[in-house]
Amino acid sequence: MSPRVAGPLLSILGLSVGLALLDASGLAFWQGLMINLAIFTILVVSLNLASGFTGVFSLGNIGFMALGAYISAILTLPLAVKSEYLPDLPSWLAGVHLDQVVGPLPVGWLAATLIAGLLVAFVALLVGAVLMRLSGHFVAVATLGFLVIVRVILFNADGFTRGSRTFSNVTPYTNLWWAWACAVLVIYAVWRLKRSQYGRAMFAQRRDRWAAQSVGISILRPRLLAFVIGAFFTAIAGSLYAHFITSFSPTVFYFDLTFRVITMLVVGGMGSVSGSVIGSVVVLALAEGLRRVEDVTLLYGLSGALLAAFFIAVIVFRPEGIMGQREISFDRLSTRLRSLRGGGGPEGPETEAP
Amino acid sequence: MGDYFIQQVVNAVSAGSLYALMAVGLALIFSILRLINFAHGDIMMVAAYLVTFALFAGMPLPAALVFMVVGAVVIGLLMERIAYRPIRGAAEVAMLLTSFAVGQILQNGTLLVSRLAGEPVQIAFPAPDIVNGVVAFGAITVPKVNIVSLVTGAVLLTLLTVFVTRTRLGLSMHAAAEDLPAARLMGIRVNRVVATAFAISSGLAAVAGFLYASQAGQINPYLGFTPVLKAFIAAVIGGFGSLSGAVVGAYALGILEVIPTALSGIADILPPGAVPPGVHDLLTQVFPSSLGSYRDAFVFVFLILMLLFRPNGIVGGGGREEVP
Amino acid sequence: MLELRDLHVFYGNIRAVNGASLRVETGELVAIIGSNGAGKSTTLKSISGLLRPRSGAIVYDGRDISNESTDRIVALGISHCPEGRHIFGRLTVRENLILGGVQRPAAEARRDIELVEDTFPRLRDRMKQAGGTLSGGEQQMLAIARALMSKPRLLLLDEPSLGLAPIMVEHIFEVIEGLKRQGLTILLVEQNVHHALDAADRAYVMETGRITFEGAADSLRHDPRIEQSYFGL
Ligand SMILES: Nc1ncnc2c1ncn2[C@@H]1O[C@H](COP(=O)(O)OP(=O)(O)O)[C@@H](O)[C@H]1O
Ligand SMILES: [Mg+2]
Repeated sequence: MSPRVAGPLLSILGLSVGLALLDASGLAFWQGLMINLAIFTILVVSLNLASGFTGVFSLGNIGFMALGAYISAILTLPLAVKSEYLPDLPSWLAGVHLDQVVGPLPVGWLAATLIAGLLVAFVALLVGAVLMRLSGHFVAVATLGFLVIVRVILFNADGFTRGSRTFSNVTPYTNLWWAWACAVLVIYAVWRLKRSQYGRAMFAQRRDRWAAQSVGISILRPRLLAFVIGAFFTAIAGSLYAHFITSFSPTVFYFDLTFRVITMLVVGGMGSVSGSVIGSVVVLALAEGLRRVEDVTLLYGLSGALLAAFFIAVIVFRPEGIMGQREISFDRLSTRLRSLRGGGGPEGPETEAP
Repeated sequence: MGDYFIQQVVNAVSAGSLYALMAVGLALIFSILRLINFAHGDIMMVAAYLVTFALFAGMPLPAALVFMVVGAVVIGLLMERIAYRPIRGAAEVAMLLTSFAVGQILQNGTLLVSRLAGEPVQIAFPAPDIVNGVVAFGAITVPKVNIVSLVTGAVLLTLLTVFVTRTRLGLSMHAAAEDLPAARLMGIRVNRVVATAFAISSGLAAVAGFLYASQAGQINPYLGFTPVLKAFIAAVIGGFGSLSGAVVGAYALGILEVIPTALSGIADILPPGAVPPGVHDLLTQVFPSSLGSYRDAFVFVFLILMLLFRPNGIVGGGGREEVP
Repeated sequence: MLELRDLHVFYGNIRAVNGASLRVETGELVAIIGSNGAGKSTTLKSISGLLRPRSGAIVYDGRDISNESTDRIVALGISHCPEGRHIFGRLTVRENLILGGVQRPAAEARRDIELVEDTFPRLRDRMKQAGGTLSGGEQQMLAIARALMSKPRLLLLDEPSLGLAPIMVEHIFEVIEGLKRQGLTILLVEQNVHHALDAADRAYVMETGRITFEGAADSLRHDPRIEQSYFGL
């Protein structure tokens, strides 16, 4: 088997064994952390697709996550709970309860997640068709405007979201396996996309929009494609989150979370899928560690401030992040390993240019 | 009826003054560095905390205000020196993200200090008498803080205008904004100009912070977020980077913002019988009383439309960076 | 007064000046001629500190200024009138001139504006007009006047005749020669080879980042190779 196939398979195998051990261990804290990591990884990889690949910086993706979370939560609420909990739902929605479970499969939730993803993708199509025409920091601010709009709607659409009150009673479907299955699928999909002609078009218009235009590559199309697919995956992360945390309110889905995801993206490297995974791990570990320090020292605010300082340091000293646009290459990794074991083989970094 | 509209106009104009104080600072920095300084709102927040702590410590109001402005200016200068100078001239988005990070540091830093001082996250703002309460003009009552905002806005903006048009440092600022390499060839010390811009913008933000907190009645470390977005919208309406444009945009935004609130109440304040019952019902339906709570969504939709169709502001020309 | 030694300047990875050396003596008018993209403007920008050379020395009055900031270099007496004039279009003519003398005491600079008005009578009536509303020739005069406001000992002039009507070109060169007669040292970059060599004492020819010929202006004017490349036809 070539390293290109064996590498990812081995990684997935390793991940599965790790998850199985963790699952069996009963260490609730670490299980929760790993689910969080999976959700963050999806968010970061999706943002990378929407922004890192295209260079069009979107700050609105947490809005898509919020929509995904609320849509899936509303759709899966069991009827008994629903009539009491959301009495003002319109009748066509009040009767929906995607809470069916077939054997080990929560099919209702899976359907709800898919519906949430598709609905959000449609919203992204409408929003993106307008916003992806902007560029530079204006697109960033306009998408931030979208985030604010989503928040205002969530707060005001009481009948659907309970407004500013906590939305709880969400069925806890999300577990280690679902979270990581989704994460691996998203990583794989985006990684494949990067190598496809669509991915190349995204990078091409990022590098030089005028040149891209002159060779007939449309600028809007790749940007929009990236934006919509990114929104779809982000909504799935929203559903995973909703059914993991089981109670939330609109305030969760705002700027702090946006900034956390951006930090992971920039630290990992805009344009690199493996970078996004690495960035998620590094920043989540750092944040978790600092939170511990905070809990012990009671210096609340310390972790946020230090993380932001770390972010600035990365932008100043290593603006391309850990990976830049490169990816981990299993080919080179294996050559390297072989050469370490005494074989020949060219030396080189375990990375490849995009 | 007439009173109702006068009331709304006063609200609009005083909100406009606040936005103007913010937006001018944002536009000043942007014009020179092409940096959208989102931490601007957090400077405003920090200033509100500085004056609060100064008043808690028993400082007389004038001293507390001076302490607030000086503190905000110092923080603004530090922020420029430490975070923005190393990335000057970097990609727009990198600068924008850095300013978010600076904002996070200020927010978390304030949270930290305020917790260490034994204060809760949300503090009641000790608004002094001068901005506390209302003044009645015949049938209409106006909060004092609105009048103070209006007057302060007018005075400070006039002073700023004099400074940028009549002093060499002000002209240097203008030159740096218009053509940075040419400004350097004049022998203008760009670092000094940039520092001055940050000092002015932080000072104005401090005053805005005081007024904003007086209006809100409460402060928390996150209060800067919405105002800075509003200031940004004001600056965009005015054609980003132009100081006078930012002022115009700020007042336009003030007016724009009261429209949903004003409309939402329109059916109720019409004298009975002024319009046929059918029209009255229609008005209630089209402009429900909940419309006011969608105000922020409304202004952001407007922002997006502005960015798309008139990125150079209502005064500037049309056209945008075209994407086919 | 000024000497460049083996100057190398890059834009990122793009090499713009590749080992240029030249000297300018006090009181001289030295011209650099050469086709578009040869690296002439880049050379001037390095002297005035807008660009940092990667290697080589820029020696002015016996000291290396290649690491000085632009404002220090202006203070040392070098003034750079850039290609394309770069007038502050939204400021008035007077304000442009004030900025030219921004490092000097305000009162002194204000007095000098009157002197400038004598040298450039056409600017006198336009003092309150926005710089952007001037004609090309007037803008060029304003650019030179503004560069003189810092009381330089060495004036760097980049393509002052660019895009001007022939009559205006004559006029600009009269001004330049007048400045030289007053004792100002001038380093002039020009594509208008005829005029440049007429006005200059000595000249350098620059091609793809290097100096390829140098000599007295007269001798260059009659050099067949120069004739071939730059007088064309
Ligand atoms: N800002 C820039 N970025 C990249 N390359 C530049 C820049 N400015 C000039 N160059 C390149 O440097 C070379 C020299 O340019 P320049 O000094 O302007 O030439 P000249 O003034 O002799 O016409 C040219 O090849 C030009 O393309
Ligand atoms: Mg040139």
